[in-house]
Amino acid sequence: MNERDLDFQLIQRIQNGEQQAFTLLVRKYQNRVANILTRYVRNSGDIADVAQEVFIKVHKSLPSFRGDSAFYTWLYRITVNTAKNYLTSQSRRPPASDIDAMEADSYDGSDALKEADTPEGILRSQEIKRVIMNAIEQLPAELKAAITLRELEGMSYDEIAKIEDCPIGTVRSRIFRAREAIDKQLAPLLEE
Amino acid sequence: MKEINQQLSSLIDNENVERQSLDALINDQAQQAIFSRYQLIGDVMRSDVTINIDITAQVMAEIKQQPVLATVTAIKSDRSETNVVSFVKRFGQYAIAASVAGVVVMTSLITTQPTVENRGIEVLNTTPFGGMVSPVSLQANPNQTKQALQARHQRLEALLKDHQLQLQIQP
Amino acid sequence: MKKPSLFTALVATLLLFLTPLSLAIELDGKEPVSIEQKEQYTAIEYLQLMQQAYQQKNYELLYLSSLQSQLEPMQLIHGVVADQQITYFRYLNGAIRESLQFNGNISYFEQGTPAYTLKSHQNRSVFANVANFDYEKGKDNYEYVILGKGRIAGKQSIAIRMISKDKYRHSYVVWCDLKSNLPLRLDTLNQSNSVLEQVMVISLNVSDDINPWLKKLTQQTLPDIVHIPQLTTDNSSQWQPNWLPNGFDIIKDDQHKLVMHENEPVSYILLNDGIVNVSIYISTKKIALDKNQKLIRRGATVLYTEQRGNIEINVVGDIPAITAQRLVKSMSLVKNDH
Repeated sequence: MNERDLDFQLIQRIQNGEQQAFTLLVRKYQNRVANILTRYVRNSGDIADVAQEVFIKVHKSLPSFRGDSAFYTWLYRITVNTAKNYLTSQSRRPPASDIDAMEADSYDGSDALKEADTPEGILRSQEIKRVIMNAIEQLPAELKAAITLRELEGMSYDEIAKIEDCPIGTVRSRIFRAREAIDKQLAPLLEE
Repeated sequence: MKEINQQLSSLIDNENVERQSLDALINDQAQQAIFSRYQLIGDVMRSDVTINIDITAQVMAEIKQQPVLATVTAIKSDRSETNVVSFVKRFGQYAIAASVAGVVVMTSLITTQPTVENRGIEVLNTTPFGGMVSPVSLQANPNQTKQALQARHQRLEALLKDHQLQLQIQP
Repeated sequence: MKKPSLFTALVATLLLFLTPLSLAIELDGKEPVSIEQKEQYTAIEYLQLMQQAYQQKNYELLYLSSLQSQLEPMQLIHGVVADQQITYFRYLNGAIRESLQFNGNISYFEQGTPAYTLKSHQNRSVFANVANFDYEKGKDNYEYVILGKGRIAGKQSIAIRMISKDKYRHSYVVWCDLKSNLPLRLDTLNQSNSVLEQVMVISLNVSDDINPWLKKLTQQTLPDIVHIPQLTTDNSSQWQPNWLPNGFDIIKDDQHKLVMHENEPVSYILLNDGIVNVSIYISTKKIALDKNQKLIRRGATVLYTEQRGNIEINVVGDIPAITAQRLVKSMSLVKNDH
């Protein structure tokens, strides 16, 4: 982890006692944690509870987190362990397709939750997804390229600047404008 | 506002994580909501989201209930000093100069000396400065591996040094 | 003196090797010393005179620290300019290690590591603990007794014993030069009167004026000041001792990181009785011990460890083991009202 990494900065602050910084880690990762949990926790009503347990555990162990692995890999491990404990307590067997922590970063989880219990939350998630995808489709080409290279390819601003042959400042501004445009449609949906 | 949100956007991408923008973000509810949505956009694009939750409030409430055992308080730095450097940056983890310890702590070896009066009490020996090492034997407890013993000694030494450091910098 | 031969041999060697450095070793031993001219002081008065001398005089000490059969020769030069104390210290053997303290800063110079400066008003030089003690207040816990006279470093000296009134602290014997009143020897004794640690001056040089070299040192540019995370006082360790030995107060109560050890966070309490400092560390247990309690001793210093569930408590200080043990036993979490 390097010092420019947001996770690194946040963890350092938390380790220095700035508890409020933990909010951002929760905000950043809660959906990814929930998504991992969907592979284990069939009852989607329990996902928020188990996710909460995950973050409490993370918070407790954070003082000893050394930063020698990526925070997400570490978080992933805790999430899977918590999910397995949950299953044991529910006396159910873990799904056959057990994911190794090493795959954490590449796992996309798109095939999760095949069961048909689709409560409101999931319908809502589908609506969110539709709105965001729509908004992206409507973006001007250069904004769409920038956000896609960033979010899907995980490129740094510098790398994107080279590909798009433009200054880094332009990349920064394009990605921001893309987010702003998408957010304009997303925000009202979440504010209900 | 736009400028702040753009900073927020680059913050998410690990580009230009600046102290002030992070400070602002941590303390501003409205910005945090934007942070969450920007994050959600990425998650959705990567298909990381089939279910969308917000447990921030619950988690933070729960954390406040936890007893504080050994976390560390916010550091107030007096950055006004121009030639101030971070202690850790300067010395790394173990390299605190023995001279901070002043009179006491040096490279330590811990031995169990089976004398009658202090049976079971470990005695901390040091490597003397002349460079000659005193004839001490490191008696490992059979239950403890060498690494575990070494790790413990390193930690004890750190405690002794911190003790010295705290005495020197006490108000 | 338990090892006269060793000490004598070392003193002889050191003198040989140090004579060029210490140009003006006084040879009082050859002169008839008349203490009759002086009025007789009480034990506490001698101690108080010693304090003033240690803080106010210009002097240079060569001394040996003896601990667990190891001897370490060191040098201390002290000077006063405009009511400001300047202290230079160095080890005489092995790698070069020196420190210079004045004007609220202490700088450390060590071979092989970058020099640095700490903000500090604490004088922790060799006799500083007995030289800064409030002897009047200390009467509650110590008795002061004149043991007798003897010769240390060629000087007629008086030995004063500070006897602890309880079993929770060590006792001391302080030897003071009858002429300059400066401390010449300090023994730390346990309950059964064994010497745990000893510091002994082997050469003393007192002058009216400050050593010019020392004065010149203060005009040098100091090494960088290193930043030790200062902690907010309102954020306490969350732990408290429910018992303190008489005369001890809590002077620090915080949470900080062990900068020397993986930045491990610890809850921390510092106790002080004017002579000794005791640190209490509470942290999460990292390595399980084969026993729940562990005691390590080095000279007068103990390091007592106790593990309780997930917690490890360590006490460090120049106190008897029984004190450390009782302190640890008394530690509990502060009850939060909210």
